[in-house]
Amino acid sequence: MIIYLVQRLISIIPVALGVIVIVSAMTQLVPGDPTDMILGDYASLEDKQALRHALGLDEPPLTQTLNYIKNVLQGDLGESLVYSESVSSMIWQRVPATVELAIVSLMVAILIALPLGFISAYKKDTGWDLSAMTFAVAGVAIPNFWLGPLLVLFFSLNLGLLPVSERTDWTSYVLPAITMGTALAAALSRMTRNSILDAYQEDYVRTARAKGCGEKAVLVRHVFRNAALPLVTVVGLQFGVLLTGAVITEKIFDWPGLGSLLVEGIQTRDYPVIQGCVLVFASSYLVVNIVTDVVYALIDPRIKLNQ
Amino acid sequence: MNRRYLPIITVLVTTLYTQALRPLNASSDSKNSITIAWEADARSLDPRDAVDANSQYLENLVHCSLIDFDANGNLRSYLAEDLPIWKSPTKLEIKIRKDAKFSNGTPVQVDDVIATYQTLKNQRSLARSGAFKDVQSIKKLDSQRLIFELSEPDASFVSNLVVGTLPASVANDPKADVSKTSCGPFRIVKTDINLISLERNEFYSLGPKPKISLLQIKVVKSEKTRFAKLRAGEVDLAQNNISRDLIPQIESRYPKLQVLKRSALKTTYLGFNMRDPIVSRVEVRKAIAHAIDKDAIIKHLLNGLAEPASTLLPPQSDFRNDQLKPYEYDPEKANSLLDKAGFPRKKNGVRFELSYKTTIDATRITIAKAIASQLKTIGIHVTVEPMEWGRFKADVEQGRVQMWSLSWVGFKDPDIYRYAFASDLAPPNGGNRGHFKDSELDKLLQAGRQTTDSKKRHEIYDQVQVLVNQKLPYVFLWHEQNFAVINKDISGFTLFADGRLFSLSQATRQ
Repeated sequence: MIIYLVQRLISIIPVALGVIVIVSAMTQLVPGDPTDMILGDYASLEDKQALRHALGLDEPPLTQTLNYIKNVLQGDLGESLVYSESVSSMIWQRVPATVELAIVSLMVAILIALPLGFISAYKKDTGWDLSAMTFAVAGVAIPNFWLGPLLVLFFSLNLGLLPVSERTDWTSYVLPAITMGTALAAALSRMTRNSILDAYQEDYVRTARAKGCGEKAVLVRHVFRNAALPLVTVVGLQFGVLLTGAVITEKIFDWPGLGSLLVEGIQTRDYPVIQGCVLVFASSYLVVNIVTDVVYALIDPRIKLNQ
Repeated sequence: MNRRYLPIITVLVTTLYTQALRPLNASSDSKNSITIAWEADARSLDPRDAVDANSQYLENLVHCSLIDFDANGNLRSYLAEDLPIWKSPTKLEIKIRKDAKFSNGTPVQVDDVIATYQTLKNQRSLARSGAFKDVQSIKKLDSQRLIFELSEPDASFVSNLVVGTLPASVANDPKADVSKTSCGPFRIVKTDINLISLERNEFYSLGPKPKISLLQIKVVKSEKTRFAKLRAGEVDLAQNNISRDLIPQIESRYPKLQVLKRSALKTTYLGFNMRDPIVSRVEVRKAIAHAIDKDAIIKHLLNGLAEPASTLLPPQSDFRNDQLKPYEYDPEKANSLLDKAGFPRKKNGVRFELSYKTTIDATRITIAKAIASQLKTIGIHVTVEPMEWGRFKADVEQGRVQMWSLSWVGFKDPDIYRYAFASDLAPPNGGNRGHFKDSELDKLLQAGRQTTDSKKRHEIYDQVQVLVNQKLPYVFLWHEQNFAVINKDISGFTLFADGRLFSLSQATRQ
């Protein structure tokens, strides 16, 4: 297990380097000059050139990329061109908000999806099943940019129960978490239903019943436990999506997370911020995948990670 | 097996627990506080680096500068006792007030002012240093007076003396925290992601002390969310960052909100690339000017929040030539001008095609489409090309454009004409984006810059405006108004022409 983990963690390095090279190349191609953002429209050409030189933006793209890689290997993600602040510190300030929202959204999704999928499978081809799957389709179909404002309109403006936006107390997590969690819940509930129905067809379920196990015990000990395996994979991957894909939800709810930092970086041509955010996103995906593999092995004793 | 889940469960429970125990939003005494919404962060807390609008608005709330602008955008003395005096065309003398104090109670002295501007003169990396590149020296005359000596005459230099004054010890120390000590009506007490908290500066003596004790600035990036927060009472004021389309609805449907309006220092124009064979013809530009029904666009697309423009200078500018009138809407005259210019209609009714580049802002796209539709009536087929700001700006500045629309915002001095039209100030050297060239205009603009005599300067800029109106490098469309959506409980707030929020210092909540 430890050897496996070390191998996987080492495998992050070439992927991260690839990400840096691709992002650096792409930022060089994007039209627009960061010195315009820093010095404003009225700055003279000499001042802009001096700043470009000071920031190393006048160096060849390859040199800039190599310098960036060298700095990253030393743990330095550079300094924001716009805010003159360390990119690492800007990212670290926003990581808690992003992770918290991802966790709460995932919990919302699981709390909705598991009972729904469970009921849907248990009451297959009934009105319960139809209702649950209708929710699933609707959840996937409704985009966050529509659901978010709708929730604000109802719960914040009409009922006055929850704040419109910002990350303040626990109440501020409710609407963004529902907005992000609903789509995931919809997909998960379908997955849960199918996994449970598949497990019901397995020989070990028939054997358990033949041995005289009660239906409840069959469901909990044999069906649900085995059905959970594919769910772990999906939940793990979706957690990665929640960590990195909250741009729209963050904008609607003024959530001070990494997604909004990345968008702002792109808008202001803040290259170090863009590179730092993308690097963190890519790394978090890889780490989440590793964690998913480990959890998978913990749940299913047949899987040996070091083989 | 269940124990294996223990770490995950522990993390989840701990997260929930800590979130549930987090103190509720520390709401201070709401009677004494006002919360406003911005659409973007202030990029810098250092007044010497404040080039974006929000950084300058913040600077104006927390720092004091030698001079300032009143609600109409006219110069007023602030830290300076009176408006600066030109001792010669290159020497500007200023006397500062004795009673000014920083937020830590120490007096603001000439040395602090000199240190602030000295760093701007010497450190080219500071964003606002470009305005001080012609400063040769800054000398202290006595405990109250200082003199700026310029390398060449520049009458517009006075309007640069708006940089917030820092204590000398802070200005001279690159590592010092510039947000701690200030001499404006408020002081910064907290900066967080999407939040800046200001408190009343108890030592403020350059005007009446703020009536509120706390001013919170929240960055709310989504326009819909800003409006929702206004409706929910989570913010009290949003200036120029709510859709104009919502104004009639706000005025009629939301009794807790009111809309304030005021003429702004903002001129929207249609620019032309003078290196393009079609739009470089003045007859074509005049035809376009006559074909645009500005009044209809202002009424229907800008909800009346603008007035037709005849010059670059807005109505409240002291230098505006009021004799000039906007090109009147006259499609027949436009057709006739194009016929005479040798652009007859083809069989399909089109004389020629033009590309019109604009940003992805929804209002600008709608306006561009309206203008395209109006130009179609005189046989000009216009293709509207909305694009992201970075690409749009690059295209305009590098000449990959025929026609575009933009606005000049917040300018106070008529020297803006030189920046926008002087032959030697085409990008990347300046803002002459259309690469307009006119030697007569260049001479006038140079004279306007070097003349410190107010009367003569007025005469020069009268001529400049007439000449630009004839040559028409831009079609000036309209001067937009500033507007604010504000909670009706707030009184004492007045809009400023340049958008600054200084009057919040005298605002109160009923």
